[in-house]
Amino acid sequence: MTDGVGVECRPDQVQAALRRAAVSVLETMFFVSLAGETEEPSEAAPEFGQPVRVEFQGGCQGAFTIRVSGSMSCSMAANFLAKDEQEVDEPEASQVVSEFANMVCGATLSVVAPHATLNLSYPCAGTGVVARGEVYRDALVCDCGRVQMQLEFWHNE
Amino acid sequence: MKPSVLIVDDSPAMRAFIRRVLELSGVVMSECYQAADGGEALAVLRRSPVDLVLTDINMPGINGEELVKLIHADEQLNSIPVVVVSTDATEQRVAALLRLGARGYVTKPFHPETLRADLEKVMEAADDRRCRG
Repeated sequence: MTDGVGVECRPDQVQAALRRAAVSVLETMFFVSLAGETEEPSEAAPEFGQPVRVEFQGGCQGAFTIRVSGSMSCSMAANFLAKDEQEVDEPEASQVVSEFANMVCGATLSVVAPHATLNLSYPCAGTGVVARGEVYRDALVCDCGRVQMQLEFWHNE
Repeated sequence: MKPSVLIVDDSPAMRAFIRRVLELSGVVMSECYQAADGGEALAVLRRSPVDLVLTDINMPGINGEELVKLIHADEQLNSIPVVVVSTDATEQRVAALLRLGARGYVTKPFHPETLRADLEKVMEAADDRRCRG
């Protein structure tokens, strides 16, 4: 099924693909596990770091935004770079969160729009424009912190 | 044979991660070169013996797609197998890169064992080509 935004899945399948991609990337690349509980996505709490955003265009257009709690970005960077958490500096942590955003976005889009040719922007800090079009949100509680995600598909204008 | 490997990615964190995954999965490298984009990669390839290139696609300057094309078109370099390592697993992108001359395509996220197995296949195929050629 293809809808008006270039996605070839039903909304529940997009939501599931987003969750699967995030869990797979966390477990495989960052050695982080889910804590067995989930939470409702909400406005970012103070402990969350700067949001990171990846925009995409091509067969479908939109943006993926991710927020990671401060403790979690440090743990992810330490795992990813094989360092102690105390050795991880701010630029390394933000670079690793950018990689995380890039991988979750790419992995999700490869499932929900497998026949599209897509170009992803470089991850950048900030939320960009206000969410519009079709919006999917998810939040994960992991063994080392929390993640909030938002995937937007924009209608072709 | 201990291959010399060139890892091309604009993210130093990702380059370090790939190198570590290769080492942890038992790939013994004689050298592990790194480059932040296609231009740097070509400079490394012209001055150093490299047996295998692993490249991201989305990079500033000469991106991964252009790098694959340039290596494939260069008589001095086109025997070096290039494997794309990317988050983009869309069918068209994979097919396009393989058509341009990439010998393999690994999708992120990847398990270390999968990466190693894929690279071994590519290296074996490259050895076969050299023997036949």
